[in-house]
Amino acid sequence: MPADMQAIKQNELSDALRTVAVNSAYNASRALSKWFRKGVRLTSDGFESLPLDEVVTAACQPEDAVVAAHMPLEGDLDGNVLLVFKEATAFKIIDMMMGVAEGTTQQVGDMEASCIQETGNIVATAFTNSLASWLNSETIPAAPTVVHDMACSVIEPLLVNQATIGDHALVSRTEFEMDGQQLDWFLLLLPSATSLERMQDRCASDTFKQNALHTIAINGAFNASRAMSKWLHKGVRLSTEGFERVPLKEICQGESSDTVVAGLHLALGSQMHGHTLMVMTEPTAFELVDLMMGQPEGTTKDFDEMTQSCLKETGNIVSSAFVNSWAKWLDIHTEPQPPRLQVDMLEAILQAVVVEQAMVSDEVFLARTSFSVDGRWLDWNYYVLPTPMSLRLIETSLS
Amino acid sequence: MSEVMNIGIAEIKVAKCPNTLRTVLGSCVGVAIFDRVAKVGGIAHVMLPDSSMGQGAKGKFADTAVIALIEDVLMAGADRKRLTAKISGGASMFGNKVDNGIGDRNIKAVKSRLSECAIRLAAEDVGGTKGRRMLLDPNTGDVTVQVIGADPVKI
Repeated sequence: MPADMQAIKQNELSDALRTVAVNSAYNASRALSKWFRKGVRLTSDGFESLPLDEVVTAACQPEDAVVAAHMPLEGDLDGNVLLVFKEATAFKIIDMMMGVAEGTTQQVGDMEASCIQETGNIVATAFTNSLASWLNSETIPAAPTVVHDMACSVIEPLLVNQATIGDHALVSRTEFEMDGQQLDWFLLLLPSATSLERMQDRCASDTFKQNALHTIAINGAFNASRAMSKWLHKGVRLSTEGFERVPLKEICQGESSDTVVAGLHLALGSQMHGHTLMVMTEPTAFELVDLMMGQPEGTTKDFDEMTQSCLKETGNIVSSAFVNSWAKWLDIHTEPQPPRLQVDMLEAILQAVVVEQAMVSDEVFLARTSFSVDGRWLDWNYYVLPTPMSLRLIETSLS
Repeated sequence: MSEVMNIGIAEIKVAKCPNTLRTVLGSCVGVAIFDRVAKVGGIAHVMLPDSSMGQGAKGKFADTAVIALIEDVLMAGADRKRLTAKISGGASMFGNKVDNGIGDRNIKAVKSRLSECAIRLAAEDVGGTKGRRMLLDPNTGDVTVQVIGADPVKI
């Protein structure tokens, strides 16, 4: 395989592994906080696919003194995990674990090595368990071996196996904060050729599902466009990028969290459960009602009974068209419930519909759709959020 | 120069005078814990009552968020004996049928955790059906709550 193609494949894999790495870092934080009895936070941006010759320099200088815990992985997911601490960081951790004054540790003897061994065990187990769970496989990290040497001498031997199957290695750089203080370390995961292939297969299956979901969202938007064009007697276009995963803290996606919007909520029932939510700014809601009523723009000024009824009907039409197209594609049955209208701040409204997904993840899986009428884009968004159980049902239907 | 720090869902942030903290709440509950003397305070944006319900960031669940927020304000220089709490949010935006009363459950869970941690709850503005903008000024311990179409209220 050409090197650039290989890099692309590796990068796709890295995207898929981002969530795994973020969850792993969270699991490792909890485990380490208990172990150290201190507030420990690990944050990871995911795995990077780096050319082999850049792996060492990505974290430190080749001649930097480091203390590393190496754990061979056995089981369905085999390979190597290496947790590398810069020497000063390792000494700091050892001092803390031994309950001695900072600066006491100056070398790595048996006692010091066992501190690093146990830390390595906790972090590597949290990482590899998340990865194994993603792959539906089992992995057993073997007992860690601790080495104290130059970065290059520690890392390079482990790249030999990786060099036989490609020119890249998967690296997860993790920031480590203890009691508000940043410490330097990084984690290197080197799967065997078989394991890398399994990860790529799983990634390809995820990509297939992602593409299928994208098609479903596009079809839904197309059907809703036709229904809305008939309803308004105007050229209405709904446009979507498909489903995406959005971190909870970013659900407003660039909009100000306290923007006042009209939110039309429809719960989904029957075989597929979830929420649809249409949000539009107040001026857009009033403009839409004027359009529907054939009134001059500026006539509607408040959310009276007529305004509410027009907006609810719009919500009904869009949601039915979108969701029916979806249900047909998946051969399942779902029914939008009667719409509810709430005028409030954007984030306050969104919170009500992300609760179920928030129980199982720090990310929300949603499709966001924007609207144009006669070629003019409106401040109008439509969200579709399946519950986690329905999401599994969708994934099963796509398998 | 002072900064207004925004807090998203499930986040925990701590500020020192002259900075202030701001968050927007629907069914979520904002827990503000502060030390007026040290002029330090933080807000946790709690989304769910109990960490046994799921997994994720500490700030997401009432039980873990209150503990983590206390740790964070102490780490920023607050004195545990002087810690005071004020809470806001916990609305039912589309009715209990949609959200299964999650707002009320969040309020109860936060109050119960504060009581277990022996943190005095000095004021609250919770429940109802409207979203809230919540601001904490660590300099004074003032929490200002605003719903749309109404004047801000200090609690």
